[in-house]
Amino acid sequence: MLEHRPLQQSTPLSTWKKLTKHPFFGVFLSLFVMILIRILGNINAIPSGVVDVFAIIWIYIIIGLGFTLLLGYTGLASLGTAGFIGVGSYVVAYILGTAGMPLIVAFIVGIMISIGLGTVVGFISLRIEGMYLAIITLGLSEILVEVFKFWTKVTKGLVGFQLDRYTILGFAVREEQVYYVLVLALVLTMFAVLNIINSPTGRAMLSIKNSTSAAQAMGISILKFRLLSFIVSTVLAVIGGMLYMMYTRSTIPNIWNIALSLNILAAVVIGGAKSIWGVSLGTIFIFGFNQLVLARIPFFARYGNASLFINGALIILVVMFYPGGIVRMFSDLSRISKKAYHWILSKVKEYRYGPEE
Amino acid sequence: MTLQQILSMLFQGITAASFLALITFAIVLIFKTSYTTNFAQSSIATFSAYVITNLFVNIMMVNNPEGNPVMMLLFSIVIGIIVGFGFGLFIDTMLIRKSRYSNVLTKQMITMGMILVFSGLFPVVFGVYAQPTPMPLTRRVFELNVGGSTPIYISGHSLISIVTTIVVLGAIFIALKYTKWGLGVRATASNEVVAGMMGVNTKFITAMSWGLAGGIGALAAGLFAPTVFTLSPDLMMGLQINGFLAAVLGGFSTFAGPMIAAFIIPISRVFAWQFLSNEWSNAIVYLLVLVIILIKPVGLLGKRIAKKV
Repeated sequence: MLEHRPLQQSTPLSTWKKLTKHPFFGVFLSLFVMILIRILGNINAIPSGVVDVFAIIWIYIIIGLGFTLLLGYTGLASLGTAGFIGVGSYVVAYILGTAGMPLIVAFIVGIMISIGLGTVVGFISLRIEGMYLAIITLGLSEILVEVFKFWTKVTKGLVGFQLDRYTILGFAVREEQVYYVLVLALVLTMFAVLNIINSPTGRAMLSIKNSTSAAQAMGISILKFRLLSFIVSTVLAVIGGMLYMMYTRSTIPNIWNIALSLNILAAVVIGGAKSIWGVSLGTIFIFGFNQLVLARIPFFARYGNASLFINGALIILVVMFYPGGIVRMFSDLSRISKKAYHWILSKVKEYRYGPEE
Repeated sequence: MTLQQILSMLFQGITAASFLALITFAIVLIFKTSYTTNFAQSSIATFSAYVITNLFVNIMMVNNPEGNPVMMLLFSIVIGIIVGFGFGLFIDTMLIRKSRYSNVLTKQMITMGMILVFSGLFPVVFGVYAQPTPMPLTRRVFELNVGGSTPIYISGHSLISIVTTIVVLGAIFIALKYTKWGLGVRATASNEVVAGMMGVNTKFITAMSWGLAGGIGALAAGLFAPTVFTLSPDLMMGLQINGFLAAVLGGFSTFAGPMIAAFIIPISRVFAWQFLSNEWSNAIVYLLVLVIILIKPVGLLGKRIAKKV
């Protein structure tokens, strides 16, 4: 028998609740936060140094989102990320600074190079797996750093490459405009990655991570998806490098070292490798915590790198006891608070109406 | 190109190889007993180098200026090795074994976290300024005449490093082959579960391997630091990366393969430096290693391990 239900009234509250359930709600929320940070910076509510730190964090989130496809979905560990970011920075440096060509050329060239690099590493990953792959990509990254150091005609060598202020379509570009470009790029990346991981492509990648043989038996082409994930992650790393160069206007071979690759890996693992929010939180934590919080404490300001100790200790603790990452913490907290709420409710009822029989 | 030049280049290469062989052995020992790559190897070794230098320069030489510097240095190196041993033991017994969820990635992440921990410790414990490293064992340079116009110059320190490496690695290889501990290590390396069932105390074996690797790393750092004259937090990082490449090139599944690779890489670098290009020698050698690994993914001496599905 059909039950007659009254039509549900759409109140502002229920509309809001429906909106928050939408998968893209978080992306729009983060867009809002990112623009808010810039506006607060403009009215001097927060110092411009902090805004710069956040801008660099947004770039690393773009790179981390590419990396999570690789690590969290296809299950391939790569330590070559820093080298690829460096490639992006030098492409922009050379094409804008030395060749004097417009930015769009730099982007086309950078993406072509990154697709090439991603294809090469993807084919390597078909022959070599696991820790071997991490070490091979580390070697590749070292070769790239050697190129940055010694191909002085293009990279200006060990002293690094400083870019003058440049123009796009006749406008002199300032940090503020690049910040909005960064935000746009990050939001587009979030949309793209969300779509990939919620599509058959993402599930195919996940199945490869869980068992290569089972995935093959189901008719999933290892070649196709490994190549795809390597190409996507390399393209995002190179784009991150190009944005980095556009924002900071300086690059130097020594920063594209193994420590940066390890930090990106740590950010992805600590945040939670399967969720884009986990990656974002992890990146903010790894790259932001010491610069935004610890740098204000005199002890850490005096000893420079001492804040890394806290970072490292927290990484170890998270990995040892909380492998779901920071993003797990939110679901755990909401579960615990719900439990506590029901417990209190039952206690109140007991007090009012006496114990249940 | 005369014989003298080739011989002196070979000597240079072997000197560099002696440091690399120690670090590579430490990496392979941990890989074989714990199935993880120890990224903190270089940090532990660098920390020990700081300990050795500070103990020798700031404590011993100040308190006892008339003493025998060689004995004091040897004492400092022993203390440094003990510190390295302790850190290795600490990572295995206090971190990896206590972690609630243990897989390959977890172990790797713990060692990566240790890199950051050490980077934070260096400025606090040892100060922010770069320290020079004295070379008190010997400053002598030997001349070796092999029948030509110019003799080969051989520095005493290089000779000491090479001899130490050969003695230490030789002793360990003999121990691996003939002692009960070595049998335990080999059994654990081939299959940890089965070794445990056969009565091998795998926990003890693993812990000792970590400690030994830390100690060997400390020894390598103590020998290597005087050759670069200053201490810095990333003193051993280059050696560690080369050690990883050597381990992959030789094949992780054997002990001997990585040792051979650890000699091939520096020697070929010296020759590439001389014959091909000064600047690109590193890149050429890395590229060569990558190509060899692509052709033979299991390494030079490695055997393909069939995987159960």
